[in-house]
Amino acid sequence: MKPKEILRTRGLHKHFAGREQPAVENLDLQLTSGEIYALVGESGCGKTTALRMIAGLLTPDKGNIRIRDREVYSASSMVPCEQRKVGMVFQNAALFPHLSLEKNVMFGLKGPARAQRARARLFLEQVGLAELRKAYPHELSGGQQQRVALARALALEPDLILLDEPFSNLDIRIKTKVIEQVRTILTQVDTTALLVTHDINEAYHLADRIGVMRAGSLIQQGDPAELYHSPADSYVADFLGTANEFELEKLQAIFSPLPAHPYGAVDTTGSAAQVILRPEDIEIVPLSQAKPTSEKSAEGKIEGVTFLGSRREYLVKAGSVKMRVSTPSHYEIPNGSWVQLTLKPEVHQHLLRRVI
Amino acid sequence: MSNRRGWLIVLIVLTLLFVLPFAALLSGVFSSSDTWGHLSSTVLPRYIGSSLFLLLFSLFGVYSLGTVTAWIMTRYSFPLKPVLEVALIFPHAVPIYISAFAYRGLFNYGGLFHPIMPDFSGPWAAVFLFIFGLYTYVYLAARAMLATFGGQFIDTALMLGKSEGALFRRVALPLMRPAAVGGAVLAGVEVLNEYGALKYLGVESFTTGIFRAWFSLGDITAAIRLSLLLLLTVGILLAAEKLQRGKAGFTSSGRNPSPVIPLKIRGIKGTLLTAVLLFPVTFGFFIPLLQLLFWSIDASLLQQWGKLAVITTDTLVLTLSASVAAVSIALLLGFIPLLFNGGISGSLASLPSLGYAVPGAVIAMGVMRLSISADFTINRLFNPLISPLRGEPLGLIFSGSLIVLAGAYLIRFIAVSYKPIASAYTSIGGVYVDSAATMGRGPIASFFKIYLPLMKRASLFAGILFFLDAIKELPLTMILRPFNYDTLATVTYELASDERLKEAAPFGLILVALGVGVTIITMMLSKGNRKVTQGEKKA
Repeated sequence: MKPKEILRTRGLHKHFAGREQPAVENLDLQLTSGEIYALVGESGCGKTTALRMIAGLLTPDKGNIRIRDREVYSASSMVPCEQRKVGMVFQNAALFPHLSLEKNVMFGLKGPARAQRARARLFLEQVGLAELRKAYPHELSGGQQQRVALARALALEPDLILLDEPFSNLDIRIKTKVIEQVRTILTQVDTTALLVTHDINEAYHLADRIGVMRAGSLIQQGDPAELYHSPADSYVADFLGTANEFELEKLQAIFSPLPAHPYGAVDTTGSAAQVILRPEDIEIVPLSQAKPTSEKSAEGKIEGVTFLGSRREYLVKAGSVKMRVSTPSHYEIPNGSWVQLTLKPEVHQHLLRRVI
Repeated sequence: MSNRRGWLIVLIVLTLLFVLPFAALLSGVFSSSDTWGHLSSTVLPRYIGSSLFLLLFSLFGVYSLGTVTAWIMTRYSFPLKPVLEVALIFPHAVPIYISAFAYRGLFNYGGLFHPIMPDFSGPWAAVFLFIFGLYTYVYLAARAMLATFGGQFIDTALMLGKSEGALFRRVALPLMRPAAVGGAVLAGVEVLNEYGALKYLGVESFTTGIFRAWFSLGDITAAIRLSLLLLLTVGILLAAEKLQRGKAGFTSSGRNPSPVIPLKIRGIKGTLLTAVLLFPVTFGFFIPLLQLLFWSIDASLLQQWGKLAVITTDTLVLTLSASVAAVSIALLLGFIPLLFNGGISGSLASLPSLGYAVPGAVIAMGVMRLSISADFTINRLFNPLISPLRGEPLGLIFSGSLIVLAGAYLIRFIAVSYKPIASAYTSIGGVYVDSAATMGRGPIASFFKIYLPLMKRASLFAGILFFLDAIKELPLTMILRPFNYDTLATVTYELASDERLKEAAPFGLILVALGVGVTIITMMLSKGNRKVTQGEKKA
């Protein structure tokens, strides 16, 4: 069965007075039932503006927003935020400080108080905080507050949950754990969610699909792995992780001659042809331990080493180019060593798509 | 968003209500005047000269005393500092006109200081009262700035080998300047607003001129023209303040607080500092207070008990009602911009606060002109219908009513209520409005169920500050009060100006006691606020 469409925006546009560039330009998004979508980009790229327009907290200049089967914004109609059936989790959780957790969850509920209380308890249980229902927000950790905010939004059974940088204020130590908890909860209740964040790692942990925004426009969207390995341009490549960017000619000169197969189909006559390699795409061994290889390899010298916990990153100069290469952190090659660089075999399969 | 338009209309209507009296004032300036020619050629130059004299010397003294006391209190720790911490603010609770008649009594025949100086009147006496009564405006503003942001600058200067004198001149004074000048401008408005003390000491000024034009000559146009000249003077003061503040962004914006850790001074030097700081408290508070106490005991409070109780009750009912209205309006004015993320609505909401920079007599003239126009219009429209039924015309409805007087208090002092409430709204932020909206609840639910409970403390604070200012206000009350209606301020002034000083004293004493009580509560509340904020930060 084809998944049901929950959110669709078409040509969404917002230009704030006094600004040269529009905050959001011609944004088309489509989310299907149960999907978690992350809109990522640098601060000021327009992702929060887009989210607020979808929530109904900001009026678009033009475009169209449809949530489930209802048009909530078009040139001729505007459904106010209160009636859109969207839940929202804010950056600082925005729990009402004078209300207990239970009362916070009950705030938007209607019907007899007893039923409201039971429902609040149910959703607090869902996020694992039912025992603290009489506590006040200031007694909770940041992660717990975000879980209550999620319970509060979910209790209203919204068609769509909007997550506005909900993890950015969390301690790095607990962030991953909280994101995993949120993902589990969202999956359990089978809710459709739209996350905006500037932290690509949050998107990787939570999202089924990622959209990258720049200067108000959506420049690429898709499956996280697809975006990581086949970025549309160098901006997306950099935003999604460390990237080595080369002119194709230079890469060919270093690893010359490159295997004919992957490049055979590429028109390399244009001097602007660029290739992007991730640090983990390149294998590195000290020259003294280098083995003869069937793959084409290059020689280089390590000019810097950075220890990054789970991995080590080397800055290597090979011919006229410098590149970053990573290894597991227990594998150590001293700074200044001469090394052999080889493109990993699996990279060849994708390299073609990396010519941009 | 569309359902928020009604709130914008409420905001526009509220702002208009606050601005209307000024428009009425402007429209009245071109009416004909019988005495303006005479006034402008005879007394006007004297009003201008005298007002400028009072401004110049009072502000010089207020600025010097305010900044020096702020520096000593912030930089050093010495004997009795905790007591002085509270006492230095007490002069703010003594209206200048009460100090005036207390001092006059002390220097009069039979007074304690009569042998030293037989007379206490004229412009220098007024300047003396202004300096010791109004330095608190500069002291409080300068001290807050220095105590919050001065630490790192003082430490740096010390490490660069600067002496204590150089620290004050080259670090503290420039750092305090924007705040201190802001405080001095408010003190300047008070100088220009003063009526009771100047009349009593025989000093002419714009405000006494307005009273003369209205009460003695019965010429409202002349009074309005004088009011506008006074407003122009205030405008020049404010513009000068804005000009000096233009490049003063170095002070607080974007800086992290860096509190000053006081240096302990003991022995003779410490005692000397205590003695220096006792001067302003003695002249600004203890001397007038003791004189009032002395007269009150002598006058035997019991004889006037009935009158005292009635007037105190009337004053409290009027001022407390106005305070409740002021807080309610300030709560609305502060809330509405949250619905629109500030912008033009934020500017509209802060417009009514401009009334604080306008002397009471000017506001009174505007409000009076407006209420007379309203009464005239209502009578013209409805008398043909109602007069035959009632047997008499409608007459005055607004003019000389308590509602108009309370409304004028609101116009004059809404700023003191709005400021703490707006800053509480700012610290809470508008996120709860959005949050409630995503839960299907509109702005009314956000206002009553979320923001109001969170604003309890700020509202109390705002109400108290309004009460403190409104209860002391004399010129505005004198012009707008209903016939035969007295407040503590008016009765104190009238008895004192009839030289019935001993009878006036108990009324003045109650005013001062209320002021001191309110000041202490305000200090306790702000300390509580600081603790709450620190607690929140810790959490």
